[in-house]
Amino acid sequence: MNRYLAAPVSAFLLLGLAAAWNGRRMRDSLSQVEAHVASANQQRLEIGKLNAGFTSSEGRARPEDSVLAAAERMAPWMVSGTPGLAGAAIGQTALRRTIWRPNSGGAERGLEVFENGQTLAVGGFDLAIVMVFALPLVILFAPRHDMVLLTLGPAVSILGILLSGAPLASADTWMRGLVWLVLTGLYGFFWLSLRRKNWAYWAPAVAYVSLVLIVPGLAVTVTDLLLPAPSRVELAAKQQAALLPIMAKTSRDLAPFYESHPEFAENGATPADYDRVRLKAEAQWADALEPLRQQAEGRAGLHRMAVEVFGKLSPASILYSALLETAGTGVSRPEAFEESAREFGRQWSVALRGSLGRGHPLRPADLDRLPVYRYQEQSVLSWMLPAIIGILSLLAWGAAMQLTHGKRPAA
Amino acid sequence: MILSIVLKEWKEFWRNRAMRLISLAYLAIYALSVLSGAVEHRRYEASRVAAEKSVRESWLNQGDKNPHAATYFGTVAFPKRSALSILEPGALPYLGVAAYLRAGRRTEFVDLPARDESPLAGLANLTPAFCWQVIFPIVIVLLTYGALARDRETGMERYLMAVGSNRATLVFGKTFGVGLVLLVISLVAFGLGGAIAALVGGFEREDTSAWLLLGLFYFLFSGTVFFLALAISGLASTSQKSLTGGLVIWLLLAVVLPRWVADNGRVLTASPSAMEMNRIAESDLERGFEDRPPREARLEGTLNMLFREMKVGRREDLTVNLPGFYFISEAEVENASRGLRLGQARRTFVAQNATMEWGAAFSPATALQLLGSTLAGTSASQRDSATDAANLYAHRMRRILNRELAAKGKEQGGAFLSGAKMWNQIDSFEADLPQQFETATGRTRSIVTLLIWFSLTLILAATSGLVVPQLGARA
Repeated sequence: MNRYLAAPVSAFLLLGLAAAWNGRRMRDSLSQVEAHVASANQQRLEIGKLNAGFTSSEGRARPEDSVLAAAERMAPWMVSGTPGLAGAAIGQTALRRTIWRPNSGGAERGLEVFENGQTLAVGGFDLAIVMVFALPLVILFAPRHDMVLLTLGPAVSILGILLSGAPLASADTWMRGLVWLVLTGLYGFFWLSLRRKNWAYWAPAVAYVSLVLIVPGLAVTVTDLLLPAPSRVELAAKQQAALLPIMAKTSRDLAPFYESHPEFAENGATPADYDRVRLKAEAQWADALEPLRQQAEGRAGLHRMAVEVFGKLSPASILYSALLETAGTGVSRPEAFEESAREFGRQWSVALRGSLGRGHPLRPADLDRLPVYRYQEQSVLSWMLPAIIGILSLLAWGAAMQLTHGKRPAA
Repeated sequence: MILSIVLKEWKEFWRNRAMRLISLAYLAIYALSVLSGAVEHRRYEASRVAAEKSVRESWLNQGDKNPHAATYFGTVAFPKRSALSILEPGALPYLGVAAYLRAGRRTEFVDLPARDESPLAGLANLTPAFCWQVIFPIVIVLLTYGALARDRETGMERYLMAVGSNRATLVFGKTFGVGLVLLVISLVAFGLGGAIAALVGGFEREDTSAWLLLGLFYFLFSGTVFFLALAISGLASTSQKSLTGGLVIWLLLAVVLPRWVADNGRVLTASPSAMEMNRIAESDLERGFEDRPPREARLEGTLNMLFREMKVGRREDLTVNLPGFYFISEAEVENASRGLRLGQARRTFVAQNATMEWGAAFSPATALQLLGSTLAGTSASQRDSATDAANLYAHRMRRILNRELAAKGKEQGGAFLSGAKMWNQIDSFEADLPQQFETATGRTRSIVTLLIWFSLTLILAATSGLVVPQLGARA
């Protein structure tokens, strides 16, 4: 390798390693959420067990005497684990991570993760960004050495993934890592094919700007204009309107308890009455909101799919989407988590209704019967499918470049 | 002589088809981005106005119910956006759009629009701000890389020297020539953006001056990139090397450094854990905080206060609704706890933003991002005033309703009902537009950073063009 090639290759390697190190710091910082959730869940369980079995305090019923109130106090929080390759592609980890908890009607998003919008708006500096933006520049403008340039992406990726703190003991990491290497290799192949066209030296720069910046940007902008994401403002107003007739009725039923205060129950009403009425009310609220949520999620999914389809017009957006899905920091993994949280919510709801039938107050044995949430990693198919689509799309781009490859002009 | 070179550059530029296409393509993309921003602004404002009307109607038509129950139905607050957000959306996609003002819920703006977007928006989102910060710099590189290097490469530089031109004249002529072209492109884009934003969003008093100031910052940033590209062109022995050097500088300035600086802010001062904040909030209410006693003691204290005030010794003798009084005092505690903890959480964001601002010393694009979003009222910290207004509104609403229950609900208790007359006493929520200038004055570091970058790169461009004739000779 001559010194003119060594300089850009070393610069790219350094950039990749710096990004991986930065990604590792971000991953460590983000994975603290899981530790906080685990600690809070432990604490809630202990408090729940301490409170269970007692009936009253100074002659007044306590909130803990209501099964629903007690269960709400000790319902576990649920959060998705930080993916192994998150250090290589931070992607949407900070944005999409929400903390869920079950309730009598299923499960809902309990807490929004607290993040600074100003830093989120800029985006993260990670290996995926280096691959998308910097790899083509090196391939297009470094001195020509096809084999070195072709293997540059996968080689730096291997080092970067190792440095980013990916758990190497997990087979999942190896599988995802392998797909990552194929993707970066094909991306490099595309840019190398483009370079072999021997255009004027400034033309690849224009192609770079168009394919890396303009087309992905247009995919987002044009979709926003033609098929916008659902308006959350509109959804909030619709939800309020949907709750209006139902809460008018449930508020009358819950009047003896001042809506959610079994400790102030009046006219001989008992915590058991509260549980019965409240459970019915919560089910009605959930039924009213669920269709609206599904409608909004459906529209959001359609919008994202349209962006992905338009995005296939650029190898850069193909690579970026596929790398995020491969790393588990795109959309499919949070969606899989939310689905598993909802499923757990359904189990919780059934168990809670069973506990209500056993009378008051909630006893330690009842608590033991409540289901325990265990995080389930997304299915292989759910991330592999978008990754395979990415691989095939990059292959198609590479093939198109090869097919349109004309004869080299005579020297 | 300088004028002749400027005119020659100008004519040459417009004769060159590739250059014309690049400029026109940039202007077309910029126009599309402004148009998209304008459509998004219109959609948001239309849905906000409709939603405000709808939630108000829901509030007024909620029927007869216990006033405390009405605090659980509550209402929803939506933040306003300035007209300049069309040009500088800043952190808006990452800030919530709805605050649910209900008892038992944290009053913050949630439902982030970015969550519904494709992850590709994080790679390239064609907003006008993105055009200025990322695309225009690469256009500058593409239009500038050959300014000095090409003449050197083709031998024109030596020829010009031979016919009596000196190096300074050549450098300044080229600088003004290419600079004029870029200035015209940026003025057209800037004017177009301002016109569409004013037409669609309706500029208020602060908007016009903020927009002009924004233009100054765009000029400083673009000037910085231009001088860097010119310096590289002055130093490079061939156009190709100049182009490569310009692209590397672009990658660092527009992509790598801003992201790295933002990440540093997040890593050096970790964002507060939502779990931890929730735990503290629960603990505050249960066990008390600062000078507030635990819940049981507080309830006891409220009861004793009522006994003293009414000079009675038994609950049954009270002439007010006791739970109503409990709700009032607990809401006060909850509000105080929320204010205290939110203040603590915000301080970490302030620290993150300060780290970003210091980091702007390495990344002028970060300085531009911070200044642009602040002037447009779209920075994350500017949402705090709307959150505070929503908190205050929710607290006031709860106080009014709980007082009604406490004063009139003794006999009927939970069955005590209020109606439309009571709901009408609660005004509708209306947040003010974010303060643009006032907040921007706090960004002195970013302004100084941009000025320093502009001055240093200007000197660099001038010296690199003037002091390397040997390279030209070698080429």
